[in-house]
Amino acid sequence: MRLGLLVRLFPLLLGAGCTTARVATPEPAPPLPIAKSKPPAPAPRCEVSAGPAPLRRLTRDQYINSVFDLLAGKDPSAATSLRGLRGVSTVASMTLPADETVGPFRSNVVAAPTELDAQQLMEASERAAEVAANQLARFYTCEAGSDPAACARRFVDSFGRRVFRRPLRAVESDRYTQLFLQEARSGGPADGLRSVVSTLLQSPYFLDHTREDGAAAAPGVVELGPYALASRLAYMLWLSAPDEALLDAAASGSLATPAGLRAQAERMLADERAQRAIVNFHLQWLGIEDVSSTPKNSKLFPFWSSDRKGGGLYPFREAIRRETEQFVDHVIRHGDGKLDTLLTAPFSFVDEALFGYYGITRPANYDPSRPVALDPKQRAGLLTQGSFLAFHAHTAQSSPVARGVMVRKNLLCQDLPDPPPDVNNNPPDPDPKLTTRERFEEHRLDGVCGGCHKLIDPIGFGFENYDAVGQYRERENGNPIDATGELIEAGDVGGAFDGAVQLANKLAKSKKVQTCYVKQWFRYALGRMETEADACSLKTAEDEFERSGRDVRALLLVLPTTDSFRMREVTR
Amino acid sequence: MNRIHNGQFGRRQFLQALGLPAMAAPFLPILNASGRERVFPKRLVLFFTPHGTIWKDWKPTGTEKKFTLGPILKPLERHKKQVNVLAGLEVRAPGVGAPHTKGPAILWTGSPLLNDKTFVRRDGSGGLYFGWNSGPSIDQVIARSVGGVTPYRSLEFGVRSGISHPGSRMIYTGPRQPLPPESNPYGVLGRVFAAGGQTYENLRRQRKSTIDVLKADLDGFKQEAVADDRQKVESHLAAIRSIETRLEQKQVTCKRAPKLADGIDPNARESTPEVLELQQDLLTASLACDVTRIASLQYRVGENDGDRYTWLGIEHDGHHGMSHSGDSNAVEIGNLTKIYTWYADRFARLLDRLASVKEGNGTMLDNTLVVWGSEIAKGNTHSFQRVPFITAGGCGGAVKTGRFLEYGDLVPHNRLLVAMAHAMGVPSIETFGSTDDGRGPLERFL
Repeated sequence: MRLGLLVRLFPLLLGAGCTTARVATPEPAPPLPIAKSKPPAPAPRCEVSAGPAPLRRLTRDQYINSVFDLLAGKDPSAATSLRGLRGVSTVASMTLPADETVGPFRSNVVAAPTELDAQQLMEASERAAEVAANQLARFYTCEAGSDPAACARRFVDSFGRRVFRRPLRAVESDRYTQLFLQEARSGGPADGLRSVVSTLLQSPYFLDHTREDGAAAAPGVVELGPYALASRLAYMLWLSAPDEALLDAAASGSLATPAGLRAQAERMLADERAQRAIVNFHLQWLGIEDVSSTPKNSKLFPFWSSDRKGGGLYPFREAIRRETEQFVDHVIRHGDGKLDTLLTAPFSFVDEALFGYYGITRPANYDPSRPVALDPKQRAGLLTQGSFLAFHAHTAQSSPVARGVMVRKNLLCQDLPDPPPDVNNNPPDPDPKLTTRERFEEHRLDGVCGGCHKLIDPIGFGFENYDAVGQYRERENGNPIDATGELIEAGDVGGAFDGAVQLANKLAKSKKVQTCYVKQWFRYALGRMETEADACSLKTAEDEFERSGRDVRALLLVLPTTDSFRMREVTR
Repeated sequence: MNRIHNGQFGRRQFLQALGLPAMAAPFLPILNASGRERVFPKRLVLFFTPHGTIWKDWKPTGTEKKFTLGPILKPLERHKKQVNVLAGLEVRAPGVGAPHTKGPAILWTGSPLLNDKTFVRRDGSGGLYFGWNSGPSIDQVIARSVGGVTPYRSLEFGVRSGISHPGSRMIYTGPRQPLPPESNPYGVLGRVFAAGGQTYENLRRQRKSTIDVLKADLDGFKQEAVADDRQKVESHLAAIRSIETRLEQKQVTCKRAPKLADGIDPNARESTPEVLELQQDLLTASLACDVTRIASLQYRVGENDGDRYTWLGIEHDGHHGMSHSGDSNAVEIGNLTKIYTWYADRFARLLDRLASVKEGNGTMLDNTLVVWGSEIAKGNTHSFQRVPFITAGGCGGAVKTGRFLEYGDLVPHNRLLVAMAHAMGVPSIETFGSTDDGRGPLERFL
């Protein structure tokens, strides 16, 4: 199948042995192939069990997307007004509380909210509410002659349900309706609406992930209520709050059935909003969220920081970040969906600014929204994209350690012990006569460092064909690059390889990587590390993932059906 | 006029004082028991810059009272009589966490990180799992004693101070309880100092209504929460109540509060020098107008500040990258010295501001203890030995200044933290943090 793809993508390459790749002929984007997927295999027989669900505040991205979906919808002017929420507007730019992390992922489960956090959220909510109040008619109408109290309650109940991700209880409905009427008395309905929106957005029922228990499932395990389940599903697949349809499914009870749950998950995965979560997951998984703000040596790589625009973005860095974003969304939602493709695809989405960087000439019929073929001897999937290679490198030189550690920890889910205290972990100073690899060899030979660095560096050396920004190179300081590497203590993926393309292909076939990828999605979806009680759910998810040929869509559809996702351990 | 008892006076008097037009000026002078001398409150300011220093260019030469500042500290020349240079303190940093990660959390707490699995280091260099801080920072402990009389117990200022993570949080009220700094000067200005006028009155009224509803929501939420989570809900509730209390108070009118022009993006690297200036203005104003007596200013982050100092003409690499250069790399050591000298220059400008506020026959700086530290000592070894500490201000006569204090035997910096408490009038503290097995304040400091 990969050969077939190559033949399609590389008509000239194969014929002429030329290193210049050509773009694929534009084709209409295939429909999302989710609906055709086979029903999942029956779950293995397992005790019902699930890990805990600690109180978890929305992350910044979850907050911003939720507010955006609530208030902007598809309205472009509201979208513009809300952009300040992202903290990139110039004047008095909004500040939201910073996130914590769990594993590679953002999740706010430990530190309690401080006064400053509450202040910042108050100010952000007020700004968002102002946007709504300025567009009153989009949110609130009251026919002449009708009872203002009834109109207020209608707004509070319908809008409040979206914000709280569940229907308001009577006492809450009263409380917010009263707030509306009290504020409207002096300033009219716009004031009432402003206060209600601002307050709803500061309520713990919005800021914290929804808690709602259903029936007991087993001793010490309780099912989530339908709205908590809907909320989990929406933040996993959309990085945002549930929409009306999902809340309706929770209300009708259909979400509680396996078929209803799957139908919603399929619908949501097909929706554009799924792009946010898929992108967010992969950037965090690969540790490259901040690639746009990572500096590089400007003498060696002037293009990295050139032509900055007024908005503060560096076009080159944005282009390599966008490449990865487009790529993961394309593969998972419009392509074959396979983990194998994510890790080995010899194509990507290449902005014009990146043609030189990837050593390709502008393809005929170039279309930035279509995949562009890259030299398959140089590039294979995510780990050979500029974003990964450049972020996991020093400013002037590559970093075999950083790249090796990412593979070991984030792709293989293996822990590494701490380095000894007071170790000098400088990168060795560049020596114009040596390659990076030669300079780093000391790590492995040193008695103290070698114990761990033999687990790390021989993986990282496989990436030595890519410099500090991820450009392909065959020589360094005049010396030929040696990109041979080895994975030790790595189970089925162990053994020698030569270069990142071979490494990527090894990883793509590995069961260990498969297990880890499932685990990472689990952590992302639940915002916590796995516990022993989650073992069965992880196995269910992995079995289905494997059965589907490692189709990420199948994984995203099965994960919400597992015990750990639908239930929680009863804690104190 | 009421006199201060042990440096404290009541909220009611304070509010009355605020109502006076005279309060538009710096701190209201209070007469002492004899009715003649004016007594001014003591203040504490913590200042942070990342990645240690270049020791050979930092360390003064000479004796305790007769010394010459090195090139990095030259900008402090004009404040030399108000400064103490502390050479030879060690920040003991046992336990989990990479050096840049644990450094900020240990700096003012003197306690290691918790050994749990809260965090996993993303780039893997030097650490695997680690938790939040294990103890409070000294300023917060002092604030419990002296901070209750001002509208804010303490104020935390930042300049692009990073994520919620031990590597970028240095102030803590207790274990796992970081106090994040506000990095947005517009946020500080709008919150702390009176905007005034009808718009503000409307906002205040709206916020009070909002808070009434939020408290009811939080009460309900707390009932539903499991016991493990209830403490967090309590904290949320406490945060909302603090905001409410402030709304009840008259907002502080302070002529020293700076006017902020529109259009500064506090998150942009290019704005950094400008934001640092504004935050210093705001910090000075909040002390001068007695909004708080405990403040901190965190410039950037401990964990790998990658900033390129383009405003110093250093474009080729970020600070952290350069800080790993070997001692023999004269070019990079020169660049680093430039950065650290710039830090000293900014620190001197903070002192300028504090010294510009007249208090009695002296200045506010005389009544303040400013302590400047960093999360490590030396970038290329990540050493915690000889972390550069500078203090400034006499803290109302508690600290003798104008001295170069050399500690040859690597004294744990916990003793400095103890001395800070004593200087601020909290003598009950004999030890601070868990990384020191000794006790007592730093010798010769007080």
